[in-house]
Amino acid sequence: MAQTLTAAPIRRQQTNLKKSYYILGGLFLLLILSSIISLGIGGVAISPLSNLEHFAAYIGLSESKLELHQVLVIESIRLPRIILGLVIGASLGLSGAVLQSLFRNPLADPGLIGVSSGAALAVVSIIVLGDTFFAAFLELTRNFALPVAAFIGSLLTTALIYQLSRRDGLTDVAMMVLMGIAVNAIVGSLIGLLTYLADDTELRSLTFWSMGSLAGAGQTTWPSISVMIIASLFLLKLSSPLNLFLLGEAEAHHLGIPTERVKQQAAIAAACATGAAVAAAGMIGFIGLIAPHLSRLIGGADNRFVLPAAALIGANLIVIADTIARIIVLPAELPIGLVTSFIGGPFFFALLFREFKKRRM
Amino acid sequence: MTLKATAIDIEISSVKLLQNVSIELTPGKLLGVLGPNGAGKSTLLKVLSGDLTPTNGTITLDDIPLHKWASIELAKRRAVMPQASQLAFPFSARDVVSMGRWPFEKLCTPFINRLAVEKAMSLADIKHLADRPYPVLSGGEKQRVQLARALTQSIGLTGDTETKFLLLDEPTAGLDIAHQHAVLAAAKKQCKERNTAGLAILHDLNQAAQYCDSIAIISNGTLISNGPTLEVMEPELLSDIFSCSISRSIDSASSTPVFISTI
Repeated sequence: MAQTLTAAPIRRQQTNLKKSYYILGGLFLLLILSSIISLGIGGVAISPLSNLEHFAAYIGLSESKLELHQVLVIESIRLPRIILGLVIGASLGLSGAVLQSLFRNPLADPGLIGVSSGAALAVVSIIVLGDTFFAAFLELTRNFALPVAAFIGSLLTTALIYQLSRRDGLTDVAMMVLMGIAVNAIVGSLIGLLTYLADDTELRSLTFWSMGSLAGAGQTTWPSISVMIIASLFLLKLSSPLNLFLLGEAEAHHLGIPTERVKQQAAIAAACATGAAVAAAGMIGFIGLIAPHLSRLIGGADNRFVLPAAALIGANLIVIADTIARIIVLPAELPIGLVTSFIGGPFFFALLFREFKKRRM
Repeated sequence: MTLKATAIDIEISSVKLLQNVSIELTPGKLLGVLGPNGAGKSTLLKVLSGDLTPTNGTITLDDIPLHKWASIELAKRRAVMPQASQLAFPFSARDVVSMGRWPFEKLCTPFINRLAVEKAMSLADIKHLADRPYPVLSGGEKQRVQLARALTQSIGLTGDTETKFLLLDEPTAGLDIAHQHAVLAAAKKQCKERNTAGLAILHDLNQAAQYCDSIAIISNGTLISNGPTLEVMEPELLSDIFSCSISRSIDSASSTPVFISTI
């Protein structure tokens, strides 16, 4: 009796599983495609095919027909930029998906745990007050001053929010959201104060930083990239426990999840991933919010799908946005944060209206 | 092989929620917990499930204090059906039930896991809802999905000999009368057939009398009475506890006790 009853649903479940593998595979192919196209687009246009030929030449499959200046543009300008973009997009998408599950709130994004505001405050402090108060720090970190400051700032703010929402050894995630809002407000006012004090040149580098850019890609971003990759791999491992978290914390505990440990690991890894992203490229909005939503739209809410899909979609979005940012106002370039918000805002509207319609049905 | 609370006190910000409560769950039996609102029934369930650590007293499973159990080991032994579960993400009902198999996911084949899921879903009468998104289900349907999740968790592995514990927090709340009976019958069946020790917080005296093997009455944080159903459910005691007049008669057709309450 039981077997005959279950045969059909089991088959359906397996096709669901297969479907999500196909979707992930498709997203990965799309990512490769957009990266190759993006490599060729810009002031120096190179066709995708000659790009492929050039890289295939390294493993002896073909001969590169590119000229020296083209090779330079691809290999030392665009490729590092795309790699940085891929890693940042994946980290932001993943962190967003993880935090939405952790807070059981579809509107959560990495900014909520203070990553962005903390990084911003640290960077503003260095830019505006650096020479007077942080001379030793600047001496110590040199070229890395801003990324290091951003990373430390984001981790400290997250740690503060995390500590504030702990009582009797337990972390209250609802409290964490509210503490996040309060801390973000205070930090925001400090940023405003420092911005007010800034002179014209300082203001200029500040705005550039707060709108995000992948232009800094290169050797200085390698440390950030490695932090992001390690943190992202760690976040991916949390997908199954986080599924159970969506049921509620008590329920997750009943099902055998060590909830305090998962919360701690998720918060630390997400803060490291986004902190490093902000350190490398400034603030890039909306990816952390949209990538997980898009994943759920195309493949359901199971985090074992949503987390990798959000990483791939985030990476895709950044590569596309960066390509647009690079070419839309040639020969100058637009900050990528502007592009993501400009596309992200209307897109989010569309999502909300869709949800709205569904609820009325 | 039992879940046992001994002289439990629970005090939260100097309010005493439970005082000197001792209770033990018996394999194969369903224990009903009765008592007025705010008496401490849910608090007791939270202590037994390991959510709350008692201020005084001990709580043990197999004579080992509950807090010494790793959460995953504990999850293999006891399942909890919560009062209400919010889930804002579009999981299907089957996905939610499947989460109940998490403690066993890597311990048996996917086929056995799915069989346990389907079995629990037919027990809870939600097979027709299996592919619907959980957030759009009605309150009563959500309850039944949560019940199925708890049931599939307490099914455990084939050939498991250790006693399982099934804790149900107001499993009948929000259900229509037929499903109230279906839920309690499913819980009772699980207890009997799999030698599971069950505990259900209930409000309906007739259902408690009909399905429970024993009854514990809690009032003002203290355990007033605990024992076989009909011995405990004396009309005088119930009238006193619930501060309304409750009488008991025997239904001639089914020869089961019937409780009638008036203010």
